[in-house]
Amino acid sequence: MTGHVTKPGRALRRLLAPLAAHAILIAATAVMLLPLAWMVSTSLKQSGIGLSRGIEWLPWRDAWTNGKETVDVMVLGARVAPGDGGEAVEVGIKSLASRRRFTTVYVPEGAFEAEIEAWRIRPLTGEDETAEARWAPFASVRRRVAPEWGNYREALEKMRFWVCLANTLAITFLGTAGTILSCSLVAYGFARFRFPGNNVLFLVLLSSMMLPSVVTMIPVYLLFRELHWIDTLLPLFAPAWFSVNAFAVFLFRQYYMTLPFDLDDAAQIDGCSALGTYWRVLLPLSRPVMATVGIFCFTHYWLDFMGPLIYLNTSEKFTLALGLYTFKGAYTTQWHYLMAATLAVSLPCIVLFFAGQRFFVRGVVMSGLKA
Amino acid sequence: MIRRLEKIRRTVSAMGPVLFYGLLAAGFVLAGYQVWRTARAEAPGRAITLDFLWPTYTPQKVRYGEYLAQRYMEEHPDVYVNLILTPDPYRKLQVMIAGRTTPDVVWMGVGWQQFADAFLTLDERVAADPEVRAENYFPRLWESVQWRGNLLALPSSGQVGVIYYNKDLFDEAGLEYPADDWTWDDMQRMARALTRDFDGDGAVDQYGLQLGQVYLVPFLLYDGQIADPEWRSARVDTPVSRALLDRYQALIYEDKVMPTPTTSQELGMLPMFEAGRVAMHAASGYAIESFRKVQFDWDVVRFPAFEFEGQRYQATGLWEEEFSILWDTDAPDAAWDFARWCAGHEMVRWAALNGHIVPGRVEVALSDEYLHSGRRPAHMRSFTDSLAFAVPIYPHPWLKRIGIEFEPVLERYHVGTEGRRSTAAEALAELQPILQKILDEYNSEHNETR
Repeated sequence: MTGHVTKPGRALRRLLAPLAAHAILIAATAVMLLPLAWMVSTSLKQSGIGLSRGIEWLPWRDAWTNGKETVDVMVLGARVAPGDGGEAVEVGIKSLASRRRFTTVYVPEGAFEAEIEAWRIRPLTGEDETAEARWAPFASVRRRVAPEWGNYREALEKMRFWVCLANTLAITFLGTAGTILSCSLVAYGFARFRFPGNNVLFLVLLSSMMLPSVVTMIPVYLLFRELHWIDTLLPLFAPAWFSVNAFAVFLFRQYYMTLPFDLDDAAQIDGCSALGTYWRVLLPLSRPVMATVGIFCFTHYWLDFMGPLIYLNTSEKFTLALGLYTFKGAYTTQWHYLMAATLAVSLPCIVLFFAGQRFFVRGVVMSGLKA
Repeated sequence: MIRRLEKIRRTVSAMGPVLFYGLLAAGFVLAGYQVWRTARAEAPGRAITLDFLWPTYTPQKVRYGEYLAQRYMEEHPDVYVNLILTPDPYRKLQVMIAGRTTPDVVWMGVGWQQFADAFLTLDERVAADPEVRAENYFPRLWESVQWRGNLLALPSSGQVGVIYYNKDLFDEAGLEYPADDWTWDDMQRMARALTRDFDGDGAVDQYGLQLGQVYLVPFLLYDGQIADPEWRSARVDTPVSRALLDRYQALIYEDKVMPTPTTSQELGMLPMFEAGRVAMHAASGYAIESFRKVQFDWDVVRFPAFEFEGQRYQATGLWEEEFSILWDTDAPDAAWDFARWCAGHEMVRWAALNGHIVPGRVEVALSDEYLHSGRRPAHMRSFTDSLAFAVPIYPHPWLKRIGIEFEPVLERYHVGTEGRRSTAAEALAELQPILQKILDEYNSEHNETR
């Protein structure tokens, strides 16, 4: 009888526990997404405004309106002018052509609602009253959200996005495919065959992960120079076809270890060769770990900076990671372009992660890897 | 209906593998084509190929490099200039040297000294070439491309630090614009008058002055280079440097006329000036192009003199831009011709008039067309005048190490760590032995003694 009675406290806990968990998760997600939000926000701002006003989440711009049309303006100054119903505040404005993006004055947030004295706007002089400038009622000028969508077009043009994209896609596709095929085959050997030195060899392979890449940079460069591969895309993906990714071999091996040997025996009884077993039985069962390795490889090749920096010389062969550096100079950084281009470059990675999330998590769990 | 849907589902399921393998095959074909297309060797069909290393710091910089290569090939049909673009010329050249695939000509900018051993000495070629004369270049710039008496590059430009000032804010404050002979006292006075808290909330809304950490090093140079001319004895810790750094720190933390380093970093130094939140701002000629877009009126003035114990001291940072030839080039004559052409009158003039560089050639820098182009800044002469007292930043082959080891000390002085900032005296007392140790080790490695 008592088993059917739910105590009020327990019911409340059941209700609140998931709510609290969700609240915490949502808050944590929001924190994690803040940099992404800032990236989007900065990519839509005017040149030079990105960081100048501190953290502003929306791309503000001053605009004048007469009820029928709205024009982006620069606020030049203010004055108190006599009007029909007494004194009225007027602001000096100047139309902003699309390329003229800077305001003369720094208007603190919310200044349009504040008293005119609180504005840091200089009084207009006679020189300002040119054909381009005019006086307008205070109420006709408002701050409005005006995203600079053109930043994306300009950023992509400047970094030669489509050229870089074609090269990056080629490297990523061939590198990822090579890694999956070669590493899964090597891992098959380590996981399914017993031979003297198996574990030692596997440890040697794993120990190659401990070597920092800068240590091997020059010898590998010399090797590719002898092959006349410098300034081609080959050094960036060809090694992937020779199972150089120890981490991928490890993932595949761990996954194969979870599959029963009975499968191999059954395949052999049916006349399958060792390679046939790998190709027809184990590989089709390895989709989760293939997805995991695929996502790791995709992000690696997509974002690789050092390899293209060293091996590529001509801009026709540049990758997206190198192209992004166009906006990061030695002395200045064009943040609005950099953020717009970065978003365009990161988008495929984000999409891929969400698309393959199911496989990714499953592969990580089944290969015994703790994320 | 359900049957029809089920039929469609089955058809799609049946086609799944076909689609998958089809896409996979298409991917291989397209990726393979892209690799093949980009791997095709360029066939210049010219007798000489020059590999030319050039940085991609900005799109404008890329256009400058492309123009140089294209124009030279038009004028020299027998030469193919293979432009090697890179966002990081230092690391790229390191690897290329180690891999023995060195380019023929390089543009390194400041920091070229770390490759001094890899560059061809140009003294003999200059002596034999009547068209290349040291007198054509500003003396400080010509000296800056030498290491221990050997000329290792041809200079094209000298970026110097100057003070940019917002004339509108000076007008508002009723201040006279800074003059060429102004001093640190004048700068401090003006900065105080220009620092404003408009809404009275206790936070500064407009700063009078902004000098970045990058300008701390030029301030160490007011009493001359940080080592003797032969780079054997460090001389960082001098009374002038102490007094100047004391003054600098007071501007931030006592007068509060400069934003703290943290504020500058958060808000961005250039954007703060562009947004009218800073009245005076230290920067090199690289800022011109960006500032030409702002609506308020601005101009430039040279760095102020520092008066100390009855004497005047003056300096600014010099960031040289130059063309060097690698010692193992296969075509030294062609490389020399290309380098001297890049640093010659015509190209320096073109680059200066198109806003790419502050010209290092005297006749271009002092020409009417450059000084009075009608574009801002009106007082362009401040840049060329500053070349008279500009001092190169760490012009030593181990400059990277000097920079790395100086950095934390300057950080402790400038920003502070764990709630405490070093004084100028403490910082300089720390820097002196650090530099001496580096110089001793370098000289010892190169079999030289103090």
